[in-house]
Amino acid sequence: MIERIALFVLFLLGFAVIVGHKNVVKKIFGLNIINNAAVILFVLEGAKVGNQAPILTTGAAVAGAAAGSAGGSGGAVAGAVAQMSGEVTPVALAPAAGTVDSACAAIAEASGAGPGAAAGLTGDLAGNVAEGANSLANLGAFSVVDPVPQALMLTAIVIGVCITALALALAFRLYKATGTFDIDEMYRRIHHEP
Amino acid sequence: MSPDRFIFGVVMLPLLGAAIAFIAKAFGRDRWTKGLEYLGAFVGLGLPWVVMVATLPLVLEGGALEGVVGLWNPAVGIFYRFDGLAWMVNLLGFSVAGAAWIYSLGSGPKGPAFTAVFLIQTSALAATSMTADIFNLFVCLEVMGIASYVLIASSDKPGSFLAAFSYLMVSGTAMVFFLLGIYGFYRLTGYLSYQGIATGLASLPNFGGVTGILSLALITAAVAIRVAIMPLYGWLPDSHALAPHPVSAVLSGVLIKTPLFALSRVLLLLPLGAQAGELMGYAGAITALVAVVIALAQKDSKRLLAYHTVSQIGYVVAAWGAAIAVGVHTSLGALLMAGAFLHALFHALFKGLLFLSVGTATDTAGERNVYQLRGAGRILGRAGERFPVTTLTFFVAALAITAMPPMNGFASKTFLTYGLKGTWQYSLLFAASLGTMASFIKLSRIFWPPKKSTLTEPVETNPDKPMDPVHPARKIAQGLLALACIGTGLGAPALFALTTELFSSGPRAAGTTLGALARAPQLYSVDTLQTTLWILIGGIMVFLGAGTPWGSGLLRVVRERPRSFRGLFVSFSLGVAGLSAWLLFI
Repeated sequence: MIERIALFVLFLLGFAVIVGHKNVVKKIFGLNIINNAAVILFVLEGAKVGNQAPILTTGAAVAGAAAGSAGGSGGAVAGAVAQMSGEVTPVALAPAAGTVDSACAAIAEASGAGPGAAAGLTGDLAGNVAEGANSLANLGAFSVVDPVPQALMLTAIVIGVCITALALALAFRLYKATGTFDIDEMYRRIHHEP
Repeated sequence: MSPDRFIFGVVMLPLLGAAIAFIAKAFGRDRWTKGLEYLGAFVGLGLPWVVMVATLPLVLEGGALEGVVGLWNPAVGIFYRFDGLAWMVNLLGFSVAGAAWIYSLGSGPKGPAFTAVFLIQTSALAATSMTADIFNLFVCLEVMGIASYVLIASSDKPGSFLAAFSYLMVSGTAMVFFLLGIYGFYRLTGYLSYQGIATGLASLPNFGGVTGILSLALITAAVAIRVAIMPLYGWLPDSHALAPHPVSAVLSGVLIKTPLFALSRVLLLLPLGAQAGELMGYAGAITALVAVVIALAQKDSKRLLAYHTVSQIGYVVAAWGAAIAVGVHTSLGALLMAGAFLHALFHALFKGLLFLSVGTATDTAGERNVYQLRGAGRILGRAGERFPVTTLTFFVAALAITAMPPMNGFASKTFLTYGLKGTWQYSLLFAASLGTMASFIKLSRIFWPPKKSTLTEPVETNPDKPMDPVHPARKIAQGLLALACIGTGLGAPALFALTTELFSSGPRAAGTTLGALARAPQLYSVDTLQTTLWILIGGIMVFLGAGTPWGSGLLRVVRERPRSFRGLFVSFSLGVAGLSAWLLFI
């Protein structure tokens, strides 16, 4: 929870800089800050499932793919973990409800209960969430992070870099044209010239 | 070869063309550079038409190509869907982009780098129209945005740098909010594809509660920035007025509509999407009227056109939102959606033409002020335009935007308002069309013969200045678009039938197509012609009223209202808050 609050404060800080600061370069900093806050939020969410690097061995990748086609991304993780824990159970192919939380539940099923409990997976989602959270603590080394948010955020970071570079280039051209970095002054000088 | 093998041609061919154009930059010699650049443009803007023609039979049957890009497994892959909607949006994009590129040969920035960025933008348009994955939509919108910031700035004026910078900052910030919306949906459902999110949300109690609503509001508001409806339009007038003319044509014609139709995919699937669409429709109707009042107050001819873009997109969004609110699988919804799309398509044609012809006239005369420039036709004649292409094409486009028969604007506005008849949005749109008429009477004054007494015409006072002859590429592009305006106007009923047919692909009611559900309203009836007459009379009254001291005083207040960078963000925050509140309490 404390991380969430810190990120929220970071986000507000960046937004305040964009809106409140007159200097265009600082505005670009602000845009970077809110972008990074969003990126960290995503990565944080992915790390809730587990904290190991999501590197799959060959066999696990196949199992993960099979599980993935049955369910959502949650399924992919669940499948991979099921393979890592050494027992390929029907759980990997169960129609996972597709949430990150249901992935937790699936992990719990795979490592703990075994094939018998597989039917429980399709049950109430809320139940799964609680169950998943409880058994997650016992999993230890078998828990990997959800790789999807990480992949998404790599893309988002690249886009952020492009936007920053372009914004800085524009700020430089504006400075050459108007001789100031103050946004209000720029508006005044440009719109009052014919 | 099955269509799903080459369907990505509409996205990849422009990218390939961009690559070729970039390679052209490496050649020092002029002839090679030109040849490669033209080859790139042909690959990027010409060859996709082959794909379009090849897929037409499929989409006409109501079929759709869908699947996962690159045959990845669906858990991590990106979903796409190429259906009638995507086909129509691509038609819009490639026709206007092609004409604008031809025009760019005769004016403004050109060269391999310009062509390459232009093609990247076209590619992003095509990708946006067919994506069915929310994160991919984010990427497509960002690529489209980055290309358009560069293109706006390419006119090399300080004002255009400032416009591009403001647009970049507000749209970049909005896209971070979009990312937060994606976060919310991913957290709730674990999916990124539209279909997955929709089923995931439907299985949750209360559709995901506050998180679901906030995510939807953030995504919708971020896209609405690109569409430029009230109150999120603040970035548009500067960037469209100061961009090079062909870029203005594409920005106004295509770039603001593609996100709208991409958003309709999301809103039609998600729970509460109908309510979000409804509010956007209301905002659209208000936009149509308010923007036209501001347009009437403008002095700069291109800025006047830019505010008209906001106003016309208001028309489109009003019908689009109403269609989403009732659902496109009802006959009213299908009628409204087809009307909205046709107006978007026709607006792309006539507004593109307006930007190009007004651009030609003002460039030749060296004056953009509506109050100063007179006798543009004669100036163009002296610049070697023996047949008055520019004057004629301007009047074709002006008649189209003011909804005079038999131009295409008349047809689409009739279809669109027919579906809204009896609602309060209809009266707003009617009032807006009076304003449109008035402001185009005002703009057409640049072609009126000059007053004998005035010496304000800069070219008249400086007869020794050599005139640049109008480049033939400009005339070709204008001529093509003008023919398209008249042709689509005459063929509007057939196009309407085609549009409803194409939109019907996807899950439809058993046995019925939407083409059968939605009857095209009678185009030339006593009723519609009477409305046109009222618009004409009312428009002239408004025009005369605006000329009185009281009217011009009011317009000066509107024109000189304070505008600031901060205002863009305040209005965005208000937009998000308003939309969230609407969705929470409805």
